[in-house]
Parts: sequence; structure tokens; C-alpha cells
Amino acid sequence: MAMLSFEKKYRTRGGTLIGGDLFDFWIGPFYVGFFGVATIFFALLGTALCVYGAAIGEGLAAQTWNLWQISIAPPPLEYGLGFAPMTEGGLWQAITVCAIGAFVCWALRQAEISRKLGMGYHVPVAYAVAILAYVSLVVVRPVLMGAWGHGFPYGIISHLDWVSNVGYQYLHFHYNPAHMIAVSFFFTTTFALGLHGSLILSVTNPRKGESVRSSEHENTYFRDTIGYSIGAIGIHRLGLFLALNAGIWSAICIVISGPFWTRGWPEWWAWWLNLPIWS
Amino acid sequence: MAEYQNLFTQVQVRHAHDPGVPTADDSERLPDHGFSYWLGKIGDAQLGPVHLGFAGVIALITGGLSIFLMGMVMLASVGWDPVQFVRLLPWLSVEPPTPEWGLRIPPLNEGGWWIWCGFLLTVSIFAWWYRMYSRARTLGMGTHVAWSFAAAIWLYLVLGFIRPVLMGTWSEAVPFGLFPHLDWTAAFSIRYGNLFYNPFHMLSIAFLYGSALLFAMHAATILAVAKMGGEREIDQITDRGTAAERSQLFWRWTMGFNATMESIHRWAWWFAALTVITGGIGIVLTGTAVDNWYLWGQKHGLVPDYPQVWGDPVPALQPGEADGQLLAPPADGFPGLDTSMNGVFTLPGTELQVTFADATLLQEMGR
Amino acid sequence: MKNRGLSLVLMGGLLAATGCELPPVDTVATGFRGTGMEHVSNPGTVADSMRAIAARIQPASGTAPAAMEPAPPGTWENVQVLGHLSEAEFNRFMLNMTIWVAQGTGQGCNYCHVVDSEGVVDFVSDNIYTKVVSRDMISMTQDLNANWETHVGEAGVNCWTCHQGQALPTNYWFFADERRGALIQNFVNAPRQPERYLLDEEGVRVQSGAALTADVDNPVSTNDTRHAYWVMLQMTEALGVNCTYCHMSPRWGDWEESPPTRTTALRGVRMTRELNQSYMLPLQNAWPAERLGPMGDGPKIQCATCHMGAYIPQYGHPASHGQDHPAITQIGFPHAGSPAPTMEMDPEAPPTGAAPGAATTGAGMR
Repeated sequence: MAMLSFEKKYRTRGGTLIGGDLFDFWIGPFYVGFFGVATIFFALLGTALCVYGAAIGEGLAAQTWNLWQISIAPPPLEYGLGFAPMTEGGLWQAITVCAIGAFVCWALRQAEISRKLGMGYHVPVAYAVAILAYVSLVVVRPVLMGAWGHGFPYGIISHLDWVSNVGYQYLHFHYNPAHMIAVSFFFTTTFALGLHGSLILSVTNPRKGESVRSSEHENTYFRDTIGYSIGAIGIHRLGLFLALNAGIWSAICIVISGPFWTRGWPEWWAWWLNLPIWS
Repeated sequence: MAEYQNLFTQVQVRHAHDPGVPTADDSERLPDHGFSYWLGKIGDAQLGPVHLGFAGVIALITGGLSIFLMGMVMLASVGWDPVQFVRLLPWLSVEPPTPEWGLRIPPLNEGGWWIWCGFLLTVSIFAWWYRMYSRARTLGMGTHVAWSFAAAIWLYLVLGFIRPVLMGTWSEAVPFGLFPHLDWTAAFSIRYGNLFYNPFHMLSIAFLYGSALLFAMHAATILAVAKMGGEREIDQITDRGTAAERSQLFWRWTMGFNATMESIHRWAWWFAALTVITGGIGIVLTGTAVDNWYLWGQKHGLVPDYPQVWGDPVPALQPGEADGQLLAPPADGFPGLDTSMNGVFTLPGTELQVTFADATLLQEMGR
Repeated sequence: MKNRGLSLVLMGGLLAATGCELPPVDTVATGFRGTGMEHVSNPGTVADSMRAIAARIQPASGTAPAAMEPAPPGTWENVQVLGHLSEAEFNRFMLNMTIWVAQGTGQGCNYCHVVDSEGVVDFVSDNIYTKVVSRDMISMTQDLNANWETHVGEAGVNCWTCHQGQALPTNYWFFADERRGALIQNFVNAPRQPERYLLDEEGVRVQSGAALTADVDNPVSTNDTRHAYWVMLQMTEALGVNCTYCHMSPRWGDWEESPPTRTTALRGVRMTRELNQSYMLPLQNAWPAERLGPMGDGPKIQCATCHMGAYIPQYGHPASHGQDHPAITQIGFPHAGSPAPTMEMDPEAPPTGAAPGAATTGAGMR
């Protein structure tokens, strides 16, 4: 079985959150666990519903198997926060339940694996932020606005159409202050990732003929060039902070658009222009 | 659950100041340095020493001058009023030349300042790139940082130089300014039929989000094994320890695949670099090869066809009714502004011969 | 804990200071489910503006006659555009105009009719600019109610729709020399004045009909597109709507994908242009100096003149309808013996329509 050379000694029992030893086994490289089974259940059911939706041409004028065009659309706004018939957004509701179920089970499975390997819970916690961003799009904001129909459709291009339209609901989404912060965090995360990846590669892949450099070289390189080196542990704390904030502020920027602000975002800046300090 | 998760440094060990790896030119390092307690909470507490060198000095001077010029142009645009400068700063702009200048150098107030700001900024960026390259070489390291930086410079040059040159006019470049560059971005997407249908834009966004995902995965993994020394990545790469083994097994057991302590940084490098490389390709194709990305997408089968939910307008659109022209301003500009600003004309309803300035003044005085 | 309380207060204060609204919100779909095509409004914000409208309303006097014969010759002197009315309907309309337009002035009939040196109202005299302007405005309203049903609907509009009891409507526009200064209020760096589109700029389109540049010559620049954006923004602001009220935003130009509201708006733009050209510009020489803009041009209408922030003016309140007022729903004609209407106060004045110094305003119009 595809096991790494050092893997066998780590494959020990225990660490499960639920189900005791019942699901405490591996299939190939995959750890199973109760939440693995639950994830597979939700993921397969959700995928099957997506395929069914594509087969009946859900959300489109005409049925197509074109992967770019397939779209599982949420219910019309008239159904509010109630259940919709299967072919009028009920599929979307069922798939959303499956997606959230699969995501949450996946996070709990990560927690089990963390326990098994004696690691911290950083990965499941970080993944929970991504789930939070998804849930704020398809649950929190629709509930605040009073209809499941405010969720985004599940389709490659159709979700882009939705993003475009929702952006232009507020005339010019770039003026959304939380969107500005989120985009800045995304760019900064990518910038920092580029620097970190480069630094490790440049130290372990030195100039021809040189031996692998040390962490002293890492520090000296960034002190020489920008006057500060955050250090080996610090860059990972910073990276996690930046990446999670990108997700968190993305969630904030969409949740405030509609529930807490219905007009154009450029207009929101009036408070700055009208501050009493200018007069 | 209240156990230590390594999110900040609990006990700071204040070591002696580290002067850095000795190099032939280490005497050029600026001796000033310090320690910051709050930086020490998340990372290394030591500040400096910095090695500026010739390229660093050039980069700081040209970069500083560029920012200074932008500030002056913006300050001039509000009549040198410092209060309004602060109030309106997010809206203020250094605009590129207008289309009639093509690729020629216009007078300062007609876009010349933009050329100067951009030129100085570019010199600064290139000098900075040379520093990143030469310091790596001096320290005997690989030059991966410099080439990652070069990928970002590609996008910068596409936006401000390469695409405008291909389009034959500086006016296609991005203005300097907070809201103005956002306005430009929105207008650019609208003009070229929505950038969401641009496949390179899709790739760039995927790599941007992917970078955030990758950094969250990597950083969280390292922090989760930090109690076993996982952050000492070079040691883990060259002499694999249990931290590397556990972090690899974590992802193997989770998703059936794992990177190694070194290869995760290759993934990182490529995700970050491809964000700007594909972004630059998407921009450079827009307007030079593709005029309408929506129609391009339609042509290539990307565009979903949604059911119609509304009836025809009442009365229905007549043939030709919706035919419109492309945007083109009236040739005469503002009647009264361009032609009589310096001229004399008769105040309407009176026989008074006044200049434009008089008319404005009269209006201000309530006539 | 004290710090936490303080920061909560600060956060709350910031939210309040920046004018954030609170849920729930009202939404109306303007397209297929899941496309994000929605009109979004906050019922609290809308209720505020509806209350403000309700507070302004003065019911029009009387009702329209079931049938009406034009007044017999000799009834009036110098009635140029209302010759189709009976005497009773004429008087009712005059009375309503004092409510719709002259109420804020407190002058009643005298706002538009000259009082001679003996204190007698001279209804015949045209020697007062407000009467000349009113006649032009009556012609304009007749024109748009009779010929632009595609935009104003069967209900039509009356003077109150825009005037709200005031001599001047709230919103109108002039050529502005300080474009940035004026438009910073609208939070945009407009390269040109967007209202110009409602006078003599025909095209606002920026997208071509071909995918590849090789197949099309589209000279519109990215900067021009910013202008188109501001043209559209002045429209959304005037109507209190967002882009998806009329457009499927990923496919701006596609009429097949656009809700019917876009067609209504297109007709509104054409109507506004025609009204500016045919009724507002010709008044140039009639205006006294205090009614002129900083560059010497007379006031012109824009979307916000009637709409005032609502997608239907006054949210369709019956007080804003024209249908009960035959004076302004039919094209009028001169009463027997009266001259045909003319907008010229001074026959010696050169033909205008342009702001002073440039007789070219009308050049290159639609």
C-alpha cells in the first residue's frame, strides 16, 4: 500500500472524536474515521444532485453538458426562507446542505488527524474560516436579506455572473471599504507567500558550488534588503494571519452589502467628506 | 484547550544584536539597529542592520521623488489647500496624458507629470530589483526572490508601459490615485466586455485565492508542528525530523497527497508568481487582441443561457430603436467654457459686455 | 472589560456615523433566479422619502370634465397653447398651477401675471418672464404626455411631479466649469460633465459587437468609459436604483438579456434630450440673469428633475399624474385670435439655444 518509508510507525489507533475504533482505519493513503465516511456521504450525494441538476438543465434555458455553463440556481426570491420545489431551487437547497455537511465533516476529520499526529488544531481552525466565508455567502446573507434566492448559483461562469451583478447592485463594489481591506489582504498574502517560498528555495538551492545556506542567511538577506527579518516562526504566524484575514474580510464585505447598505458604495464615503473637522 | 498554540511568543529572549552573516561589503551595513518588543511578539525582535548600497540609495531617492511629485500634483489640483488635500486625497489623481498625445511626451500639466512619476517609480523598482538580486548573490544564495519580484514587475510594466505602447497611447495606462485606479479598473472591465470572461483573469484570480489557501494550509501546518521544531524548515529539508514527517502525513491522510518540506515552497513560489504572470497576460491581450471578452466567451461556448423571466417592454422595441452609437463627445467641448473663457460676451438678458471672469464673479455676488 | 465596552461604543458610533442601515431589506428580482439581478432597497430609507413626499402633497382642485368643448372665440385674449380647453377647465388648470408651481412663492396668480400700476392684474400681458416660461413648460408637458407615453405611461405627469409646489424644481443642471469641484459631491472623478449626455451626446456605448480587435474598429478608450460610467451613475442616483435594475451586468450591451426597464430608460433619455433641445434651450433669452448658471446658460432638465430619487416619480402617487388634466395631456392650440406660441422675448436677439459665446450647442445633435 502506498505508504511512505516512515509512515508505518505513525499509523496507530486513537485520537478519534467519535465512533471509537469503528472507523479508525486507512484506505490507501486516506485516513477514514467517522467523519471521512460522513464527508463521502455528503460529497457523493451533493455531486449526484449536481449531476442530476445538469441532466435536467436546471437553471438554464436549455439543457447542456458544457461544464462551463452548467448552473444550479437558488430558488426565486418569492420562496423567502422556505423550502422550494426541487426544480425551482430545491436542488440548490439540498446541495447547499450537502456542501456545508461535507465541509464541516472535512474540518472535523482534519481535527481527528491532528490529534492522531499530536499536532495543533491550526489547520482545521484555518479551514473553518473558509467554511465561514462560504456559509456567510449562502446562509448568513440570505437569512439577513430574507430569501435563499440571494445565494450564489453553483456553476463555473454563472457564479461569476452573480458576482458581477451583485457588485453592480452597489454601483461600484471597489468602493466597499471591507472589499478594499479583503483585496489588500489577498494581495499581501500572495506577496508574502512569494517572498517566503522564494527565500526557502534560495537558501536550499544556493549558487552552484555553495553549500545549503543557514537561517542566519535568511535573516541577513531580509535585514540587508528591508531592514527587518520576521524570522522562521514569525513568517508562518504572519502568513496565517494574512490568509485568514483575506477570507474574513471577504465574508464581511459581502455580508454588509445589502443587509447593512443598500445604496451605491461610492456614496458611503459621504461620511468622510462631511466630517466636521474640515469646516 | 487553553494550551499553548504558538500564535505569539510568550517569553522573549533578548539576545545580543546580530550583525548578520559576514560579507565582503558588510561594512556598508548601516550600524543603526534596535529591538521592538511588539514585533518580538510575533517574530524576530531585532530591527536592522540594513544594507542600502548604491542601488538602495537610488531606489529610495527616485521612489521618494515619485511619491513626492504625485503628492504635489494632487496638492495643486485642490488649489494648494492642505485641508482639502487631506479631505479629498482618496479621490485625487495623477492622470496619464490624453489620447491625442499618443506616445509622445506631453507638457507637464497635460500628463507630463504622470510620465515623470511613472518613470521615477520604474527606476526605483528596477534599482530595488537589482538589490534583491545582488544581495542574494553576495550571500551565496539562490536568486528566487528577485525572479518572484520580476513576475510582479511584469504585471506593473504591462499596466503602465507595455499595453499602452501596444495600444499606441499613454492614455490607456492606469492613473495614480486611490479611487481613480479603482475607477480605471472598473472602466477597463466594462470597456472590454467584462473581464470575468477573460480566461487569464480567471487563472489569475484562481492563483490569487490559491495563494491564500496555500499559505493558510502551509502556515497552519508549520504552526501545528512548531512544538516539534517544524519552523526550522531548512533543517527539516536537509535532515528530515518528526515535524516534517507528521506535517506530510497530515496532508497525505487528509487528501491522499502531500508535498515535502521543500516542494511546498515550490508550490508557493509558482502560485504567487503565476498570479501576476497570468494576470499580466490577461491585461496585455485586452484591447490589443480581444475587444469584448463576453463575446469571446460566447464564441467559445462559455456563456450560460438563462431562461427569460420578463415579457417584452411595452411597446416592444422597434427595429432600430435600440441602435446606438459608440461614445464620442460633442466636438465643441463645453459651450461657453472653451470658446468664451477668455473672450468677451454679452450677459444674457442685459446689454452688459463682460468677460467670463466677470460673469463668474457676478454670479458669485448674486448679480 | 471597560476597554471592551468602550470599543463596542466606538464601533457602534462608527457604524452610526457612517450611516449604515439595518436589515431587513426589500428586494425585487429583475432577472432569473440566482443571477443576482435584483433591485435592493431599505424599507426605512424608502419610507422616509415617501413620508417627505406625502408631506409636500397638495391635492389638485376639482376633477376633469367628462366632455369638453373649446371655449367660444372671444373668451380670452392671448391664449396661445390652451385653446383646446373650456373656460371652466381653463380656470381649474390656472388654479392648479398656482398650487403646483407658485405656491412656494406666495404670489398666486401674480407670480406669472403682471399687476399694472393701478393694481389691476393684466392677464394678457407677456411682459413677465415667468409667463413666457410657463407657456413653454405647458407646451412641453403636453408634448411629453401626448407623445412620450412610452416613458411616462398612460398616467402621465403634471407640473407638481417636478415642481413640488416650488417655482424651481429641486434638480436641474447647468454647464459647470469646475467639473471636479461640482462632481466630487457625486463621489466621482468625472472627466466630463455626465449630464451633457442628456443634451447632445448621442452615444454612451463603449463595447463593440465583435470579440476580436481585428474584426472591429472601436476607438473608445478606457478613460472614455469612465465618462460612460458617470453618465450611468447620474441615472442610477436619480432613480434610486442600481445597475441591475436595467442591465445584466456581465452583458451590459445585450438587449436580449436586459429587463424591459432598460427600454423605458432608453426612451426616457431620448425624451429628455428632445425636451432639452425643444423647450429648455429655446428659453435661453427669456431667463433673467439670476436664473442662469455659472457659464450663462439656462437651466436644463435631467433624470432627477422628475424622478428625484424614485424609480417612478413620487413613487407613482396620483398627485403626480397628468391624466385628470386635459390642459396638459393633449397638444393645445391657440385660442381664436391669439398668436402662435414663440419662445423669443426679444425678436432682435440672435437665434439661441447655445450658451453665450458659443452658438454651436445644437451642432451635431441627434
